[in-house]
Amino acid sequence: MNTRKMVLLSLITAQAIVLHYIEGFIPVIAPGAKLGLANIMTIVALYIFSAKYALVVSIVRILLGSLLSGNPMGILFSLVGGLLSWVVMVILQRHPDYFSLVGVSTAGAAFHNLGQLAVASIIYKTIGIFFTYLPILMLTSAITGYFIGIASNYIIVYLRHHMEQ
Amino acid sequence: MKNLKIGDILIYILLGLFALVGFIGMKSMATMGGRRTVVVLLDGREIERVPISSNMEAREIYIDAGYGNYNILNITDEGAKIVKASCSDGLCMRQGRIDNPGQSIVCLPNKVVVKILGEEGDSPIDDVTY
Repeated sequence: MNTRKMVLLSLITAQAIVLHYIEGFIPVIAPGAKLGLANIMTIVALYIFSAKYALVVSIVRILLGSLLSGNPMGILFSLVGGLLSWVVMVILQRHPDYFSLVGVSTAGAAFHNLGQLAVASIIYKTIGIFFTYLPILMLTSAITGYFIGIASNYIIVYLRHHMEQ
Repeated sequence: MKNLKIGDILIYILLGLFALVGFIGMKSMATMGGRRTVVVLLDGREIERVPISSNMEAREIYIDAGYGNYNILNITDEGAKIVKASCSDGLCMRQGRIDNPGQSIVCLPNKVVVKILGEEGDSPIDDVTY
């Protein structure tokens, strides 16, 4: 790993943590229905570097971000959601002919929510939670995923141009 | 921004399907959630247990309290009610129809208690006190 790569990766992770923190101040319409701003950085790492580094960014962001926002209980939810989301995004990203950034980002958002919901229904031992929140979370994932995808695209286009120099 | 690709459209359709599954699941949970059971206790012992379901047939249960004393309990999908009793005060009949988990009808002279049990955690109210 060269220095330039390391610095860029650190910057991306730091930005992900800050976005995660800022997002805590934005009111939500349902538990878990977040904007997913921090996911921008995971996607950037996935497209600029590789799946491995996207995972590192995602996990470090979840661990540190959850501690920063004073919600260590949320780590379990976020970790499962983050892992599931990463797996799906990596698979979709391998097929750029079929899936654009918007699709990858939307699927990532949706599976992050699915993972969290699954953990919640296991912890609270009711499948009802899963069904009750599924429609609203899928709807918000579709909307936020779309815009997060567009935002990520701007950064990725810029960074690619920057890295070619 | 590039145009949406075929896979992206599929993802959005998939999300719509997930949302639909959640919606249907929610609806079916709601009808299942109101699962209630009428339990009849005579002198502290359980003698009858009747689940309430929607569109069930109305049932009359004759509760024999001994020494010629009795209560007649009417159970429909709307709840349980004592319609006839041998006791002198008739308070059990005046307690009317019960339909929520946690509610009960008590007949002191005959030592009869009728109560409704719900599935745990599914009641709209936490508990009932009298």
